[in-house]
Amino acid sequence: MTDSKGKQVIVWLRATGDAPILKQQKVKISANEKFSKIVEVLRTKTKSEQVFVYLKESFCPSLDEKISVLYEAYGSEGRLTVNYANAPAWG
Amino acid sequence: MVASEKAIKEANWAGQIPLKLVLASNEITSLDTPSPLYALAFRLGYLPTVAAQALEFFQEVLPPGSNTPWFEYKRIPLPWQIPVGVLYDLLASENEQPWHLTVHFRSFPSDTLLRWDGDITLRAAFFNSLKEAAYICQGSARSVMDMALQAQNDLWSAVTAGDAEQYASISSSLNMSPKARGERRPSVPLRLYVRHTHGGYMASLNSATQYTSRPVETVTESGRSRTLQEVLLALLSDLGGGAASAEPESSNTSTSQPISTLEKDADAEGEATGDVHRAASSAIDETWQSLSSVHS
Repeated sequence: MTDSKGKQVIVWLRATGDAPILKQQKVKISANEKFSKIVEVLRTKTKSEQVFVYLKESFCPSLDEKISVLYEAYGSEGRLTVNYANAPAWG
Repeated sequence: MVASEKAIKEANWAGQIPLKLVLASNEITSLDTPSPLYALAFRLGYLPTVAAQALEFFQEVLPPGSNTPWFEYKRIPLPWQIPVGVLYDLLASENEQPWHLTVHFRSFPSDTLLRWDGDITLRAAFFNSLKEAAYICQGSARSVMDMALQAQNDLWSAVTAGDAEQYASISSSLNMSPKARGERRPSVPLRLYVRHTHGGYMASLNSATQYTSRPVETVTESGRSRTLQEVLLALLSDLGGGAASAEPESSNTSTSQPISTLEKDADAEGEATGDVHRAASSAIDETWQSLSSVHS
């Protein structure tokens, strides 16, 4: 199985609360990466150690889950929308 | 069937794992090795809940300083967010009782375990999973996010105390019955942990096990109920595709829903979801026997 080696998912990074809005809000990430990769990208881009990340404006999935699985479950219109904040946003 | 479902639920909630906890040798400041602590942990509970008891027990011999508890089995740090019963089924040697664990209060392995900021971290992780579960079942996590603080407190104390009745009475208001939305068929949250090496040496949790957490549709396109076997076979081949070993070899599997207690909410309604729920909450081992024979 060649799997989704070359496959990429468009991830839309949306700022929430006081979080800085990024210049580049859409990034392509390999579908084989784990969700923690997105958190890593956000840490680098927002230059902040602590970043809170949400799907569907409500929950944070398992950081170990593959992006392809999350895209299939929670993506729509060809992308996975991820909200990020610098403080907990959705209790 | 209804009666046995009830019995399974009760057994799930009542199940406990006997633990034998020894303190990490490099954290002992006394001349004599302190005696081990024997404790019972709810299968549906979490290791940090046992940590308070261990701290009280070992406090006298610990060096001065702040304490961050974590547990280890055969040199493998145990993730605090996975229910005790799942960890035991996944990792423990066959029928190992009591389960021999080492408890640490220093040198938290932040490279392998999720960050730990105290008990609030565990509670937050639980409610986060509950929100994900609500989203999968209902298409919205509103019911969880709108819970009153008091109800949240009561629900959490029911989980840590293994109080099935209190849990049921609070969670019934969350209305977690899976429903179809748009083109998506009714789904339940499923977490699957697979151990793919036989006993013996485990280099790390990640090398010895695989994990996925995702929604699973409870009916087929034609509206027939899916069985746990169908769901697991599909998931296993999916996992196998991305792994070094083509298929799991061991019979040591364990499932848990994003919260292992969720099934208690969702199962009362809709017969359509019955197969997945019943099977998920019952004898995985037996299911696995038939799975293995299909698979190999």
